[in-house]
Amino acid sequence: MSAPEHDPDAETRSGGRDEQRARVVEQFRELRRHDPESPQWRSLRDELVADHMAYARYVASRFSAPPGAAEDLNQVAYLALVKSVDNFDPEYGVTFIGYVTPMVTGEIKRYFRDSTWDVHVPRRMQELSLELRGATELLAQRLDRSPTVAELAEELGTRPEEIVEAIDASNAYSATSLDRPVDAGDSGSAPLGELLGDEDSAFDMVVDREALKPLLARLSARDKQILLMRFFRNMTQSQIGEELGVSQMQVSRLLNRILGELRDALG
Amino acid sequence: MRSEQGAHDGALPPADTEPPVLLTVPAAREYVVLVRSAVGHLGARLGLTMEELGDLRLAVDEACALLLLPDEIAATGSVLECRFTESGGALWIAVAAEASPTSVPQVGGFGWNLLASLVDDLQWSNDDGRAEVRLMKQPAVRRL
Repeated sequence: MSAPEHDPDAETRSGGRDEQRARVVEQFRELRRHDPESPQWRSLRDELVADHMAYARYVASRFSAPPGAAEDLNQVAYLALVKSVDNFDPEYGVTFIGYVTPMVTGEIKRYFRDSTWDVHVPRRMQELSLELRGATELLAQRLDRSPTVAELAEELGTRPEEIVEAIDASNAYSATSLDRPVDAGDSGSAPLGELLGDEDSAFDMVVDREALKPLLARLSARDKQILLMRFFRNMTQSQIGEELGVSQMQVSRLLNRILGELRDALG
Repeated sequence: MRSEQGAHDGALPPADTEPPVLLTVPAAREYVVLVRSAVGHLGARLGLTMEELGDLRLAVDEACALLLLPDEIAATGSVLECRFTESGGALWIAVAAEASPTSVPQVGGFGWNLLASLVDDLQWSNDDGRAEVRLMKQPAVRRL
């Protein structure tokens, strides 16, 4: 499976997501005002398709394509994207991402079903965990809070047990799984200098748990995980990097950002 | 009779409850996934949101790490014993292992408070070499 080129979470964190959504809705409204034969319609449509091609590739990348077939999957995803742009109704109350994600996964599923390829990873859970992402976002928007498992099951027409299994599956596939074996052998005892040398260990905020709750609620699951690794398990930045499959420098940057946000929130 | 640390019996379910779910796994990191999976299913029954479930799974994972990692409790026993109890709309989880009677986690620091803030209650005890982490999570808002 190739690395995702587009991480939708990044937008969540950077904040500009509502503006982004509003802009897309406006583009679709504009599109619907034009005659499908007109050059204006054509160019607006091309623009919307181009803007979402990276996302379509990202969705396609979540499926494990047989060697050499990744580009085929991208083509299938683009096709579904174009159909989605043509059919999406901005007044329906669903974001375009919420609409296009199941369209793309559906098209890819059909493609797999029609081809005789032997796909070696059990796909059912992968598909479901992918749909889970879109549905979680959709419901959160509709309910104005995080949805329950039962609500997600109803939305996706499946049973709650399957949703939990899909959560398990998505965790197993994600790079941030906690199940990566911790190398307790030699790196279990980090040199003292490394522990003390990390800039972030100067972090000595006295915050009680009740004050922390609302602050942590704003962080992504991965940010919470990194904080716990660093300050609960006392792992070094290098060890965290190893476990998450990123460089120590990236961990350092992530920690600086997270701690900065916490400090700001504490004002 | 167990001796609790602290003044109150926090993170213990009320006495009159349904039979608990018991899960015993080898004391090794690769089996923690089973504990987390069980927590997922039980938390879903309780009506936790995805966010709450994510926090709980993270907390349980760290609670197991607390017992397993050499820098923390470093359980001496060969198994982790988990007890899950649903009661009063909350899920109570206890993870226990044999450990040195003197093993104590760093309670009260930033890390411990981080973990505590992901759940509604977090307690820990070491009774003559039986180390136990107990935590409790309930839906922030009762739905249904």
